[in-house]
Amino acid sequence: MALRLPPRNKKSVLSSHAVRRFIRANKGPKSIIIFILLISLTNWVLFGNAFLGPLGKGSLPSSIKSFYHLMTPAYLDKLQTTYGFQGHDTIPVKTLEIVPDVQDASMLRHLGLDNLFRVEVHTKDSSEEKRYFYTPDYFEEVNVEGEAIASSSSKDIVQKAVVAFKRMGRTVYKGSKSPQIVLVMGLDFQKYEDEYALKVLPNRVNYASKHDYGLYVRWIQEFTPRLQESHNLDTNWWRPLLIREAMSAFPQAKYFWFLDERSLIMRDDLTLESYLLNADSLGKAMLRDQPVILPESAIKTYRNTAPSDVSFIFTQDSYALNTDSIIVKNDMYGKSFLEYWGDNLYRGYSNFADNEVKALTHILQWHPYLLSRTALVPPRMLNSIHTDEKAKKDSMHSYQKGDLVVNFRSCELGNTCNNLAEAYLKDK
Amino acid sequence: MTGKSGAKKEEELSDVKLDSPYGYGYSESFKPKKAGFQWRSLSIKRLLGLLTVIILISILSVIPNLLKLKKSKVVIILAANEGGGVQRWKTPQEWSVERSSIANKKEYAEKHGYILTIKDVSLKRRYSHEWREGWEKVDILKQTMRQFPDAEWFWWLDLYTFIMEPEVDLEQYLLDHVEDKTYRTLDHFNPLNIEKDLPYVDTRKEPVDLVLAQDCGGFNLGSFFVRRSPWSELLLDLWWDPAMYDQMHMKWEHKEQDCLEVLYSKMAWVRNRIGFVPLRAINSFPPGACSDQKDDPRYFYNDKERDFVVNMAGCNYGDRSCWDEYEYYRKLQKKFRETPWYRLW
Repeated sequence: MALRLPPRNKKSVLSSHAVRRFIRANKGPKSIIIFILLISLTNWVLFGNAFLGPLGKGSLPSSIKSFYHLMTPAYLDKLQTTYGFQGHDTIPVKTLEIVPDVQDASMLRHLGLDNLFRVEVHTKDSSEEKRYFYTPDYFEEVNVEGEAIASSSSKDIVQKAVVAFKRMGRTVYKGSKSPQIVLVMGLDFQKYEDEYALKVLPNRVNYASKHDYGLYVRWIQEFTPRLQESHNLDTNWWRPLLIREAMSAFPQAKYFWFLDERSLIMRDDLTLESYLLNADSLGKAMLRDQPVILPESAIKTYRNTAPSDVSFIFTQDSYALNTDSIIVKNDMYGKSFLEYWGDNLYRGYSNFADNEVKALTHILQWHPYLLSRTALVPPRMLNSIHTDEKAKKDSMHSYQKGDLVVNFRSCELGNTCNNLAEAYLKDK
Repeated sequence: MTGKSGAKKEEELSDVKLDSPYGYGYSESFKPKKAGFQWRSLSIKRLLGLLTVIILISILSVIPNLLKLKKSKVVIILAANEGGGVQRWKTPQEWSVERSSIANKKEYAEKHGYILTIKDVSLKRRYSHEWREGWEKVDILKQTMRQFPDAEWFWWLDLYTFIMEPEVDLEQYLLDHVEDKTYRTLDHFNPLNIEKDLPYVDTRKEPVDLVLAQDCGGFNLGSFFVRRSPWSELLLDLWWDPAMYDQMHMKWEHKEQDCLEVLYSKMAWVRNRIGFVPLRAINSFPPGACSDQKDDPRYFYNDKERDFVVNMAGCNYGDRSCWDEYEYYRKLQKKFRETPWYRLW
């Protein structure tokens, strides 16, 4: 068990006697410095880099290693942050409901678009066309000087309605806990009677508040200048724009359910998560290999789309896709899809300008990547259609008691919205 | 001297052992006393040994790089055979330029272990229908992404580009932490006067999946980088659309380039993941390009600062000559890379 140091190698690496003597004579730090200098010199001659030696092979002068000398550092840190169409000057609210005051409807109707927007009259071939534009107070708070505010109380009510109308688009949810699902709806103060609005809005409020969903409702008239620009007035082209606005107002929510304003939710007990959105239910409900255009088309939904990959859910009516009831996921696909669909190159395209469904059909037929994130579900899951008592019922589409939604579309043509809503709400 | 002291030490230790196994030679924990570090045992020989080990380690660590054991994440796509001689004969000089361009990329790719793939962009009948014109680039990118499923970054290079600094390591130069090396807004340079503020844009948490440079006329797609991601796959799917092209094909002189500019100027999701670098970082011009702004140093190759890539796009127009320009830069690069006589390698 002798403790020994390892036997010393008596043979020196440097065999030359002179070098040995030199080292012996210059023992200590001096020799180390000389040694390091020697290595550096060899490295420099052999590898072109005195310090790194073979490791530095391939390293370059700094001006080649990066292009930092070409950059302006001040702009490097610049990032853009999110805000809606109406700009940075947002109005935060803590309530789950971002809803216009229906009491303003008659006032707004009375005022008309001429008092809500800046108007330019263009004369073309002896016909006059009014063009509407957003005024600066849509985008930021403008301090109106004394006179408007100091006037009589009736003018106050007018002013209040106008200001509320212009501020709708800047309202965003800033509460502590974001809802998972947000219901989205557009209200038209010119098309429907006030009584009707007072039926459909509480219907949404009840459903949303029962399940802690958010609710996002805007006046359709707010989109007038954007729609007019691309000849989309009196169409449903505001829908993609509205849903995108909703995403910006509830940035943390996961799903957005747009439901047409001529529809009522008939089953308050059903939550969207358990009814449709969980992977299991959606997997069962999705129509696979379903033609995009009915009755038959070359493009069909994919057979193997996983429910977790679905970002948009639509229904079809008897001949085409339908946009009355849409669920969009708040992810990269959902946003890009809405921005692409709602772009004015689509809205302004002469073949699409009158109908957003044509553009939607086009997208799903030409862009397989978006089609692969799409689910079509049986119409009555999200969009049962009201059928007249005299008409023949269709088991695929017609509303039956127990369905989630009843849609009495085109009711405004016969002015029956209010009556129908009353009947259905009684029956609920 | 050292030998003597070593022997002395040995004697001492053995003495201790013989003397008293349970007494002096044991510490309080009943363990043999360790021979601690001795400054005197440091000798030139040991230092030399240590140095040899360090040098060996450093050489060993370089070997994997030299043998290209590192798996490449970068694919270089070289668009060759421009036009394909369909509209006119290809001249011998054009063949020669094409050969040197391919050799240049091949050498570069081999040096760093990148994958080089040469794609044919000759005029094809299936693109001649107006709705599909300009679609080639997108199709080639999609196809290349399928061809190399393990690669992350794809670098598109037009034929008339020349890599001036083959030493540049793309990852170190640009691709590592690319978010810190690119502009996320157009504030630095905006030749097209694109609206800087666009609703819904949020670049704060988004990565950069497409690296572009702008020249005097806007986006330049002669040299750009795409990262494989759901976003880029979506962009490649939505880049081209017949309904948009039907309306714009008279205005979109530069086809897919103009289309991308339009998408960028209108759609937040596109804007979110595009990063810009200065033109000279990936795509310097020779004098003659951007002739309206020939005094602007931001566009043109600078041999003092040793720009990375030259792009001689448009060299076959006007009084420029592709072959002359190509030969000039090829010789310049050769000159840069000559090693001084006193270096052995």
